[in-house]
Amino acid sequence: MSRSAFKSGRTGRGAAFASDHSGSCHAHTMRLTAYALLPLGVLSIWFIVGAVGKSFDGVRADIGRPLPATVLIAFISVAVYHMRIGVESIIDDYVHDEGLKAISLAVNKWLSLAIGAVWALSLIIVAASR
Amino acid sequence: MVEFALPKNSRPVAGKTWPKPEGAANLREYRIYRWDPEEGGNPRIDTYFVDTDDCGPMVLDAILWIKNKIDPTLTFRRSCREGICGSCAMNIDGLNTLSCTKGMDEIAGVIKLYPLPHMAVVKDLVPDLTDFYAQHAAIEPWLQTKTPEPEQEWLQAPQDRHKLDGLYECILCACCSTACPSYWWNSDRFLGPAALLQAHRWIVDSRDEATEERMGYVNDAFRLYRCHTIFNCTKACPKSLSPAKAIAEIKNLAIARGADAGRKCSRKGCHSSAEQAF
Amino acid sequence: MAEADPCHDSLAAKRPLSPHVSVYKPMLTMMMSFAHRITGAGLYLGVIMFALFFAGLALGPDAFALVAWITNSLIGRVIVFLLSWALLHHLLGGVRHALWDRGLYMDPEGRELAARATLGGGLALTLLLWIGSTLAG
Repeated sequence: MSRSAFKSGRTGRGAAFASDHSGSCHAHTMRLTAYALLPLGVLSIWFIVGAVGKSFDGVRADIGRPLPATVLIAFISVAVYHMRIGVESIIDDYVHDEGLKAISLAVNKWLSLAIGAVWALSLIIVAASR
Repeated sequence: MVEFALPKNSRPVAGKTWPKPEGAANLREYRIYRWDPEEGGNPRIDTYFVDTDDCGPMVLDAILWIKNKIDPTLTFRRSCREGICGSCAMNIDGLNTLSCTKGMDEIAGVIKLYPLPHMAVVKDLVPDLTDFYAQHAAIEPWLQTKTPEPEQEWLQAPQDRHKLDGLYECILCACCSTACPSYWWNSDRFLGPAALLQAHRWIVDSRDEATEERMGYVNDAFRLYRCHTIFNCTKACPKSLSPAKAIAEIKNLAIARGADAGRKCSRKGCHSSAEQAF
Repeated sequence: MAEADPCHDSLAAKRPLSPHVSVYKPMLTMMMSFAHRITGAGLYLGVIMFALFFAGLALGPDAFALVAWITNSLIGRVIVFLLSWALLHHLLGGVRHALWDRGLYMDPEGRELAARATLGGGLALTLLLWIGSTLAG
């Protein structure tokens, strides 16, 4: 039979692909973040949809209240992990070129952190200045 | 980037239309993928007309009829003709199944036969299953024990034997793995539903004592976790097994194990050392 | 004949790849998995959009004027509607995955039911959300 292209990690040839034990950590984090995002997501989309059609002062007054601001900040704190791992899974699936993959994973990591920082800081400013 | 489209040399072109048998009352039209390694070139789709009064009711009966009466060069694997050997697995009417257990009456219109998807084609409907078998071998599908061998059998209680039901019946036909889109894109590192089902069969076997090692091998972002519960595997299985369920159980075991050991993943660039410490 | 063994390496390079997406029958569970991924990716972009919206809100009326199209123009409202649908669909899909983790709804009937419930439920909840939000003012 022809030589297999499958990298089993059992022999010297595939040893670089010995189990990285990474899967269950990410899967566990995905589950925990998903459970938290169930209530946080529903509440957050309610507050965001509530901002539709309102003026600058109207939105500030609504979202700057303690409850919406806290919920939205809590949402993004959890969502940042969830979306980062989710997109990592997509990158793992489709991007096989090692160089492009490393770049994509780095961009994903820093972009998701930046989004979280912008979102949370903005809401803190809005809530604080109310 | 993954190639979602077929490479140029793999795109099938229109092929030959073989003559209809004379005096046949009930004909079924078959469109079958053909490729000859000696000719090379692109694969083609040949059209045959099968006299269903002259052959058995299954798709396998029809292609054997074609091979005997119309075109002896049509090539495909088959053996038991009763759904137990797994040789005749192919893509029939868009779904992977065994041709010997697929009745022609289950399909409306033209019957289209293709080899199992996203596999290197050796000839006509015969795929190269080397990787598939290598994945099965990689999970070490044999009993591994540390305690000394007993005088006679390794004993197993009926309730422990019951845990193997739905797992041992796999005939390694490759219908499930080749139905899985994740396996299409990552068959060089993803084990696939069949090998994972067998991995679960050995993990759950009470007589086997290498459970830790088996779990450790399988617990990998690629080997196990390319599974996204798409469910094509369970839909395809001609023996009505559920690889998706077996894989879900392996994932639960792996997560419980990882959580118990407090182990964070060692994937490069994933967690900073600060996160690891936390 | 150069090589007797039909599966030998030397012949491997010339072999075609059998068709996959072009021949495989699309089914509901497969499409739902695809939708789960697409809504997830769409939400990633949606979150970027909302982050910019909140940044505009924090920076003052002039900055807000730049981002207010998200919530005040027709195209912006359509986008917010679609993103809210994406969120609720992805959320129910997540519930479906959680049920599968417990081994539930994995049988043939259960799978189809769960898929339809996710699809219908996502749409229904989105409509409820927007009607409720309009009534609440």
